[in-house]
Amino acid sequence: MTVANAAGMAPIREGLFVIPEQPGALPQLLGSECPACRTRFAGKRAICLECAHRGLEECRLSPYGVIHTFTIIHQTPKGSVMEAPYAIAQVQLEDGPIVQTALLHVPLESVRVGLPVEMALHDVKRDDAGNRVVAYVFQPRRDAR
Amino acid sequence: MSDGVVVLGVGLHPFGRFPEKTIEDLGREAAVAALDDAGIEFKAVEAGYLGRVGGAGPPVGVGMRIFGELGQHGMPITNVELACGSSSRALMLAADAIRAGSAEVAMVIGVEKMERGMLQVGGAGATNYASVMGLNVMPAAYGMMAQRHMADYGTRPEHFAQVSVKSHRNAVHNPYAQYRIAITLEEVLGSRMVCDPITLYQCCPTSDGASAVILASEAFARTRTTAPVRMRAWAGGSPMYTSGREGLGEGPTALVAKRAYERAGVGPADIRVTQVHDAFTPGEILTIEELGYVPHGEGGPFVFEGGTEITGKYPVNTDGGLLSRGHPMGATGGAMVTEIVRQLRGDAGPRQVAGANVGLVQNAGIGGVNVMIFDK
Repeated sequence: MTVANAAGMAPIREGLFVIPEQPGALPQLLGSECPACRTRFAGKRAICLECAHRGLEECRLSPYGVIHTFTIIHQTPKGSVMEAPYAIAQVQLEDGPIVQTALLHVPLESVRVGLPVEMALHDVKRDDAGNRVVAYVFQPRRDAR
Repeated sequence: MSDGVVVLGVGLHPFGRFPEKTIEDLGREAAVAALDDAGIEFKAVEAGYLGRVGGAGPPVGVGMRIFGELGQHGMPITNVELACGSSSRALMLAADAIRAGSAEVAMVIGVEKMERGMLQVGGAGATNYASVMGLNVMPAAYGMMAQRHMADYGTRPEHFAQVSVKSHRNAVHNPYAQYRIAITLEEVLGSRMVCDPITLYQCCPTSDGASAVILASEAFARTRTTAPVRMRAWAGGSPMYTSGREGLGEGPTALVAKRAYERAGVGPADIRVTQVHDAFTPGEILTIEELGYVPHGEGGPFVFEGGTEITGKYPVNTDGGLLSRGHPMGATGGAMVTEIVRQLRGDAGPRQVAGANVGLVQNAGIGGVNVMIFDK
């Protein structure tokens, strides 16, 4: 069961990402950070891969990154909310971790290795209470430097 | 060499679709073929290993059921799961047992019955986030490896497509293969796009099938054959965290291959025939680079110019590979070994590699990688 925020938005899964409170702010993935060596990891980890420290802390990962690699999927997988054709990518975040994600708001022919991207929310459906159920995706960076 | 391991027998159930047969039927038939090939009775087998991932059929204990159909003399049976690398890992465990002296003869059966359709990690219709968001698609993993290779080295879609042309041509001569028809480069490139740059004819089929391999100590094998094929060295691995980066995709193939080369006392230039894990066409191009056959970035042109053909410098997947022979996941590792053994025995007929005396198998499962070297 997910809980909607004040803006009527609920994450499709709890514990994966943070929906921003302020308008204009970017959503962020939840990751793990080592209090000893400060290495960051995607998702929940208990033990540091870098220094074997036990007891990592939850952190908010950078919403910015670049495309490490990608593909365009031309066949809609069973059980998915995505409709082919769509792009997916491995994105290397600014603070280190690589995450796998769907890409939206980009012409498929302009997806390329090295493209700067940022995290965004994607409306999947409305729940029974009328809340917007959202997933995270990445899109081309709007403030591209 | 007193601690040598010999491949005494190999056998396959043809790969394809066999809705009328149970998983037990498939495994038993491959096992009987391997026993006949080895010239031994089942009761001589002292340890059994079963490689299977878990498609159709009973969820657990398939090893007990299949080996139980062959006989029951109380030997230890172990079920091994390493995704698409299950039966090659099972073979490595069996070889370890023989080298350790805990068995003189061991048998590995690999078997699978698969659903039709695009492979999705965790199964079609899984409800985890990655599945819902369309991220858990097997050909996409290879599509992403291919795109990175294209960006780094200029590898072209036709380089990948040529892998499938070559594999299909080889499979024409393999009576156990699922697809025994040659196809052209234009047909491969023109088939439906699945995960860019991978088109439909660059994807292995889903398959039913089984493989069986019987390993024996050199002392036991001496009583049965005067021309043994030896399992000379083997090494396995899993993804590695390096320099701030979590291991992505498959294990460290280059490192695992290096260990296998060192243990066998050979190098890439000594390998005359090779089986690699080409579930999708990028598998062959990326793997021959990892194995040290060509420098990184040169795999695409090497394949495109015929370097991995039966008549090429490094013949690869002479039986059609996963792409054309088929890929019943648990059976694949044993089928790869079966082809190498037939090549080293000189029994590969129209697909025989001239002078094949050292062969290599690379088989990968999600996260796992296995490399084995055989000689005679």
